[in-house]
Amino acid sequence: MYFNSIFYKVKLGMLILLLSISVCTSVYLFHTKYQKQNTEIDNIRNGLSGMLPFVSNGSAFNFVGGTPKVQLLLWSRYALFPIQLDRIEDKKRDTALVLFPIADTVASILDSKKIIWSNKDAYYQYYLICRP
Amino acid sequence: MNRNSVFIIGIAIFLVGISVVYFFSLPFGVPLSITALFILLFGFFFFKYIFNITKFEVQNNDRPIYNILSYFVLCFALFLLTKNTNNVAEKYGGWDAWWFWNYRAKYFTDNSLWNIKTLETYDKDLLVQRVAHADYPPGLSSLVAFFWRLFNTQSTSVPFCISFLFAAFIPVLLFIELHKKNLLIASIIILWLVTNENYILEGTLMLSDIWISFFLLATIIGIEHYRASSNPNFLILSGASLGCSLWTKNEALLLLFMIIVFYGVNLLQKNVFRYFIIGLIVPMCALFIFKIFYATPGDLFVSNWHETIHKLTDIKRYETIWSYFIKEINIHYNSLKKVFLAYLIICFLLRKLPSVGVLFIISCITSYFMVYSITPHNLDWHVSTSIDRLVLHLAPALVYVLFIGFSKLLHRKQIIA
Repeated sequence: MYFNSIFYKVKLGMLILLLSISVCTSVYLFHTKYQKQNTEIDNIRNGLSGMLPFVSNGSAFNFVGGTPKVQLLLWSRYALFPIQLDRIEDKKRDTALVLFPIADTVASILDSKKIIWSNKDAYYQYYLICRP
Repeated sequence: MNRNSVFIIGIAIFLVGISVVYFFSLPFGVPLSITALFILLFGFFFFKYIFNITKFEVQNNDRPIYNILSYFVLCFALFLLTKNTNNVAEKYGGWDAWWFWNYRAKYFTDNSLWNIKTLETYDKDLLVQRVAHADYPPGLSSLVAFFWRLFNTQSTSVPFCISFLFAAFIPVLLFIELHKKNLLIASIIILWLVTNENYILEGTLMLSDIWISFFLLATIIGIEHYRASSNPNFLILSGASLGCSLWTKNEALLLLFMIIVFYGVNLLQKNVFRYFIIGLIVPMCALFIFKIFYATPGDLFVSNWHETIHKLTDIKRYETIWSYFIKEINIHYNSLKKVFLAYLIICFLLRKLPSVGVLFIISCITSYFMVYSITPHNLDWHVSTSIDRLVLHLAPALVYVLFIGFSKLLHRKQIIA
């Protein structure tokens, strides 16, 4: 009965405390576990970071990607925000981001294009190209 | 409803309130500090109201309901949830999180993209062209964006925290609501939920489905408590919960329709439907403004009615949906399925109709099936990639209504005996 009365009086505070401990612990574990872990998005962000001085925030490019194309496009969009990357080629634009796995051949895509910037890492090759 | 339940539902509604206020501050270029001050003011009055409801409840509470065992179960469940979510969480959440929920949140953090003074000059291109699922309400993205700007970060710890909070709210709310009636069964339910593989995964993916799941549960709890106590405040909370789910995802419109069909008539007869509307009105207006001025048309409904009717009456499509549904149930909700079937069999043997809540859930499943059947996308792809989340919407509410249904059946049996 003694314990009942104690818990009865503080139950809301106790519940808030329990929830807070749980949430804080969970977020702390999540943060420490992942802050140093590199995912595909981080790899692409690192790979594309050198391109940023060449483009402004409001830029919009076409996207030419290797396999898996949808993921590469979406990861790049996420990493490069607010730069716009379009899945469907816009003929009016003269600039495109080319992103392929490192093992793929991209010579035919780069042929007769001016390369503004390029980079290679352990996973992918990146080119920012435009019409000459 | 005890004060803990009201408080948990209150926090969730307040979070959605932040999302609504922040979203509508963007087109008008309101500085973040002013928005934050307004949110603080809103929070003050909102929680004053919430504590007024709970004050009433405490005065009428005739027995202490908590004991050491309850706290032990609660602590253990939260410990398991924390441990299990940490094992399965992903840095950027699920596909939908980095594809559009968090990506859209980035749009909502960038002032330069929202440098417009009136709704009329709003450049729809921002949402139409660049962001996927632009017809979805911005609830989750807007809330994430608010905290990202507030803490000057774009860390995924913020959406993870929000996701985890709702994932913790559901089992805790269920436990708080049910342990008064039967501590053992309430303990089994909370421990089952926090160890359920699908539930834990969905709780960490940073998606809005866990919100729908919570708010549907809160809506039904509010209505059930109104029926038991006739306290209109519970109806207001219930309406607000449903409204919050509307601000979360399009599926909630279907749930709203179902709630009106199954509970609305009863509430109208008692002349109390207005209380439900009071809670619903603010988020619903916010949704309408969003849908009229900002959202793109949804991609789910095809314009050709002949094709729609053909799809709706095609049995093979339902067989496909059913096969994925049953597979999901058998893998992740097998015990819930057995309890559900047991309840239906008992009802049949007693020659009694299942409770309104159970019928409501069955109808929701049916209507989800119908929506799936008219999808313009590849049916297999659409169902297989989303059925787990749709089951999640309904599972906690089903647990609650089954518990209440069994309680009523047993009560009836005692009276007969």
